[in-house]
Order: sequence, then structure tokens, then C-alpha cells
Amino acid sequence: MESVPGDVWHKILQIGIQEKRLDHIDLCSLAIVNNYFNQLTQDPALWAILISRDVPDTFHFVEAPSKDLYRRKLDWIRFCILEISKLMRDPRASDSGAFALILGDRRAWCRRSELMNRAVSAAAHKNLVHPNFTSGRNFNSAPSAPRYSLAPDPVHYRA
Amino acid sequence: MITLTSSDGVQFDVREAVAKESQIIRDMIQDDCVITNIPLANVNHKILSIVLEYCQMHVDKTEMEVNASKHQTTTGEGSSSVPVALKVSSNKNLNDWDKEFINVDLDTLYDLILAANYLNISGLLNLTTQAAADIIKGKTTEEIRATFNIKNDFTPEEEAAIRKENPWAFE
Repeated sequence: MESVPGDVWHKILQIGIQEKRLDHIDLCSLAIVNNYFNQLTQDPALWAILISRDVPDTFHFVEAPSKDLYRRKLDWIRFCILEISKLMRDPRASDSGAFALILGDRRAWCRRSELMNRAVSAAAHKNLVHPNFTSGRNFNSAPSAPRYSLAPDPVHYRA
Repeated sequence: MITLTSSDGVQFDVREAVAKESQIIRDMIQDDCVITNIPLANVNHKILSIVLEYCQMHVDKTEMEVNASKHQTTTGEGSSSVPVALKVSSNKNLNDWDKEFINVDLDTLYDLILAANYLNISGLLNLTTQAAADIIKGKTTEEIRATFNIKNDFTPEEEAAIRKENPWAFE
């Protein structure tokens, strides 16, 4: 397969990403294969598809899509998940005012409040928070939100 | 009928509709209507027969849908569009057939990708590239090198530097 033309390899990666068969981990594994694949997997067009697929509505940078931009967006999602995970263990989080305050700090980082919804969805998806925490919650209206239920036993949820 | 000749000289007589699944052949036929024999210098007979099997099946399925639609129109049963149930069932069967069809060894897959690319058969190119992506998926760097027989041309220092750039993805 090494002699497959460059445009065909590009097509394999492009379609693989579009069809959700390949992800950023696969591209990074390929980058270490050899010089050719390192070059190929830097292509902004591939990362643009991954960004719009995986992390579309996080914060906006006025810059072209790239591997580095994807990494920073992913870091931000991970940061949010970590913060939410911490929040779930914080007894003050049962107080809606404190929750709103903590959440407000985080929201100040974002231009779009959907980020927190996305982060919470991602956290729920990864089994980081109790499903009760996310069901019916809309973080767009966090300051006036009612009391949030904590996970009954946080030790069962991965940090 | 059109005759396609493989790179190793084997001739295949196929219906025009089947040959026209290839964009490159479609363009040739449109440019010059009298063409009846097309040599394909980059595809051997083994791969060409597999490619034609794919084209034949996809043309047959499309024609079946069109005929079903015509039959329904003439018998006055509903609208002229293909019945949804028939279309879904037909697509499902075709997807199952495609899955079975693409279950080939790596060398054949490689040749099919090249042939689909050369003949510009978009459906086959999508199918084969997705199959190649499936093979890459979840593999470590070493497994990718071994599977595709790719030589590592990094110096140890270069490889160490590249590995240092990518751990964020594996966290």
C-alpha cells in the first residue's frame, strides 16, 4: 500500500473521517508512521472536517483549522469535563447560587454558552456525571437554574 | 455492447450502462459515439472482472428500481416515485452486498482502490477507501507500518520529536 498515490491516501483519510471511521487518535498514530504520513496528516482540510465533526461549537478562533487548533479545542473540552467532575464532588454545588458562580466563571471563557451544554453532554456520555445531573438541564439559563442534583455516589464516576 | 480490454489483453464485453459507471469511460463515449473497444492500460483482468461485477450489480439494482417505478405508474398504484419500502429494502440489500463484496485481502483492496481511482467510479472509490480506513482505525503506529508494509524513514531523533508532539491525542 506504500505505493498508493498521495491523493488516494488523502481520499482514504478524508472519507474515513467524514464517515466517522477515523478520529484524531488515528491521524496522530499515522503522523508517527513516517515523513510522508506526517506531512499528509498535517493537512488543514482533514482537521477542518474533524473540528466541525467533534468540537464545532466551542470557542471561536479567528484562525484557519489545523491540528493545533483541534488540540486546543479538545483541551478546552477536557478542562470543562474536569471542572464539572470537580463540581460534582463539591458540596457547595448543591447550592444553585454557588453553582451559578462557578459556572459563570467558566462561561466567561466562552463566547457561546452552548459550550457548557456540550461539555456536560460529553461528560455524561463518558459516564463522568450522573445522568440526573444532565437530564433537562440547560446551562444557557444557569444563573436562575434550580438546585442541581449531585451524583448519589461520586466515587462510581471516573474523574 | 462495449468491449473493455484489460492491461494483460483480456477482453470483457459489457453493456454500455455498466461501462458508464466509470466517469472516464462515460466521458470517452460522450466525446466519440463510435467507440466500441476501450483499452484500460492500468487494470489487469483479475481486478477488472471484480470492478465489472461491482458495476453490474449497481446498474442492475438501479434498473430494478426504475422498472418497479414504471410498473407502478402504469398500473396506477400511487405516485411515479420508487416506493419507499422497495427503495429501503433495495438499498439495504445493496449495502449488504457491498459489505460482502469488499471483504477481500489487502493486495486486492489496494488494486481495487487504484482501479476505482483510475476509472473514476465514485461509488467503488468510496467503498474501497472506507474499507482501507477501517483497516487503519484503532491501530498503533507500529501496527499501521506492519499492516501496510510502510518503511519508517525517520531518524531516531526525528521520531522522538514527532512522538513528543502527539501524546495529547492518546491521553
